[in-house]
Amino acid sequence: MLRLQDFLHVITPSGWQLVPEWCDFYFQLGAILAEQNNSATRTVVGLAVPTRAYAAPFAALGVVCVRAKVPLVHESDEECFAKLSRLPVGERLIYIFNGHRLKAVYEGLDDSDGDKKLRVRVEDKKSGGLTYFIHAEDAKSLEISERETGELPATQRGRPLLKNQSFVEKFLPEIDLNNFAGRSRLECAILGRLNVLRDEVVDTKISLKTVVGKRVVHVAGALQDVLRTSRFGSTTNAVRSIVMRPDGKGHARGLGLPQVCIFDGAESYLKSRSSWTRSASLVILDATETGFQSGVEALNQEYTTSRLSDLPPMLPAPPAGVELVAYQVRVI
Amino acid sequence: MNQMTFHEADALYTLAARPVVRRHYVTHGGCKTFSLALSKFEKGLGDLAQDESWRNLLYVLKNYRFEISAAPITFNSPSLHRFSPEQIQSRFTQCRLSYPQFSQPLDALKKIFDQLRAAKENPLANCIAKLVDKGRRVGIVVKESRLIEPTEKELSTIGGKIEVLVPTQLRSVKCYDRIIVVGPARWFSRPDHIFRSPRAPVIDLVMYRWIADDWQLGPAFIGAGSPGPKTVDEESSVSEAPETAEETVLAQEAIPQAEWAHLLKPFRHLTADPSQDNVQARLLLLEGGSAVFLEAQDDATSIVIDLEADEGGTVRRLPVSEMKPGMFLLLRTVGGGDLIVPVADKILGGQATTLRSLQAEWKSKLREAVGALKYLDVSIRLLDLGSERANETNLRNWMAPRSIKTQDPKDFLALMKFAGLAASYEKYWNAMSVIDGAHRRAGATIRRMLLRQVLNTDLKTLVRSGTMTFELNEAGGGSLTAYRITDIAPELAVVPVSKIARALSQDGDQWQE
Repeated sequence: MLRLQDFLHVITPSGWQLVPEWCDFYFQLGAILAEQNNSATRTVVGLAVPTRAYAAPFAALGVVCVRAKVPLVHESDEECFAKLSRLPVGERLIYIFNGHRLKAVYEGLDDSDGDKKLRVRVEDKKSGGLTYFIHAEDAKSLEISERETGELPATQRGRPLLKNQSFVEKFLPEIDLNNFAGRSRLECAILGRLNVLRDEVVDTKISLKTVVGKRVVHVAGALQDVLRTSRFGSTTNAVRSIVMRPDGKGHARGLGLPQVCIFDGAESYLKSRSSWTRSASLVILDATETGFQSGVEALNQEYTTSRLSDLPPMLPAPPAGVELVAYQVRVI
Repeated sequence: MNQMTFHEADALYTLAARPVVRRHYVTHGGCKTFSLALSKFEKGLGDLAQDESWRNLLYVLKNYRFEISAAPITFNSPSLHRFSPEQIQSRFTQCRLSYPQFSQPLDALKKIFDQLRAAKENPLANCIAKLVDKGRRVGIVVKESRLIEPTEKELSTIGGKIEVLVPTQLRSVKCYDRIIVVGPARWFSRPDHIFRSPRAPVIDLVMYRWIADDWQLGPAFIGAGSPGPKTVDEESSVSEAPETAEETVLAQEAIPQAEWAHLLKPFRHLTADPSQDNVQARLLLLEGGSAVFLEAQDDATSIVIDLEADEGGTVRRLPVSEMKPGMFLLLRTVGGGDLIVPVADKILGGQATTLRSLQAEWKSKLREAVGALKYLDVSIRLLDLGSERANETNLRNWMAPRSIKTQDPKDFLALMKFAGLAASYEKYWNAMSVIDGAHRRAGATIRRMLLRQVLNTDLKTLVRSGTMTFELNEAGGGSLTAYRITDIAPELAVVPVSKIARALSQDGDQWQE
């Protein structure tokens, strides 16, 4: 497994610096939780940390990176085509065309010439109503949109699949980016303070070093480029993670269940833990928050009453000053 | 919650990795003699220590002992004289007259106390002075906000970059080269963030040797797979053997504790009976020694300033059951009671009087109808009349003066039928809906006004001082004071509704505004 502190940089007052080890700890932890796949049990990891800052985004990064290698669509082209053809006319879609995501509307099945095609309109009828006919072999370029509403634009070029392509290409070198950025799949949910998380996920600059000609340059990006959170990105972007308030409000249910749920702070865990009992849980408790002791007590309570087993020692060793507990509970 | 740069977060991880906690023991004969004598005397009193005259005297003596141990203040400093010599003398006299059998040990204790109070010595400050390196950023942590000012005054001659703080301020991102904590570690163990997430590489505990302090930071989790923070590594600046148990006072004994049973004593005889305007309430202790009762019914809320919330949620209504020590509770300090009612009345305008009399009318009729009947019997009757949520607790809430209407019209209709007001059901329901709407709008108005003020205020002052007053010039004016919640009673109490949401102080056995 790659170690973040060997290649990922972050901006500091003295310029670009390799991220410290503690970032890699959260990254590795997220990666391991993302691989826990058991329908009967789920993993709970609790952390008591000196500060919650940046812990959740780096753990989410580990989740998304590992899950990016898992194929998105298991169904065949024909199965995908058949599923889409059963949609009601007017259903909102995203059409991935030429490296761009286009807002679209399903207009029904066309078999006028004996050749079945999906009619997909991408522009407003008043401006001509540009419509594409999609054959079964291209059916996977269509995705049902949970978030789009309203009229289609008069014209649209679509949004590029990747806002920051060079960074993502370098960060996920072995991943099919059309798949990664073209279709949504919820991998990770973070419940926490939105303004703080926005700052960390969107506004904190990270980079990868590369050589262009004879020059060493930093290809800059943000955690959002990989996390692809719905809240901090465009509504047409394919989603890989979601960020919610501590009470869990605002979750787009249509995205399904995440592999890992990160409770960023005691309030999130105390308010929402009962709603996320099918995903692996990472509970980050900041020693300086007022709810720290209540969060610890709740986690200890679950450990005492619901733990099926302790987790084998496969988790990364926490950095000094961070305390970790890990166990498995039954999926409810 | 603080927004933190990556650089700041990294600094905190570095500090958490290898903090060193050292205890520095300070000795002073007179101080030790007084402290041990006080403990011995109190134990000798046994159950009599609960008597009011002894309580009043012990309160003065124990507070003095706490303050000289919790802050580097000269023993004869005027800032330690919250009570005049005459008041103290009168408390001694009262005890001597009431309990002549204790005259001899009491006089001995008074002599030791008077000698100490006359001493112009400050051993804690002397120890701190040796630890302060000039040019280094040093945070001096005292247990309570009221101790900041006298500490600053006493240490002003030391020089250096000294900042006197309370533990809450060490939740911020600001870090120091050294933190000097005044008092034993146990006083700072709940919450324990100053050790678990240290803001300096070195934490020095400066404490008297007569205080027994065996507290060490342990793992937070029962099943912790890692050893946890290394703040348990301790160094002691002295090599002497520790004091024997007879020569020490436990750290937890040397700090005044909330004596809930005593605090709630004035209301012990009351029962939860809305017809008598008594309600179930929770007692919260506030910064500065005052206290407040808040209604404890399930949906009862109050306005708080939550510095950890997102910007928009800094000022919000929070269920009383979710309040925690460290949050700031807002109470109306000019005008009295809850601000919601007067602001709602202003929103209601000319209709307010009529609507409020309708509210009082149906409450009064309902109470009359309930009379001496058992709540259980009334609840069954209400269910028969079509109510869906009638039970003893809900009935109590519906009868309470502050409740406006039921959530479900079916429950309200049942109440109207029971109170003999079925014919006017719609009139009352509509009127109460208007009041209810006005209360909601009032809550939003107050939150907006406060948010504006809070966002324009330097909240560091609030964190430091533990209280802050906000003047509201709109919506009827008045002022609200934010108090830091310092403790919350574990048990509920029954108190008169007139005591709800008012900052109270206890004088002897009475609670006063």
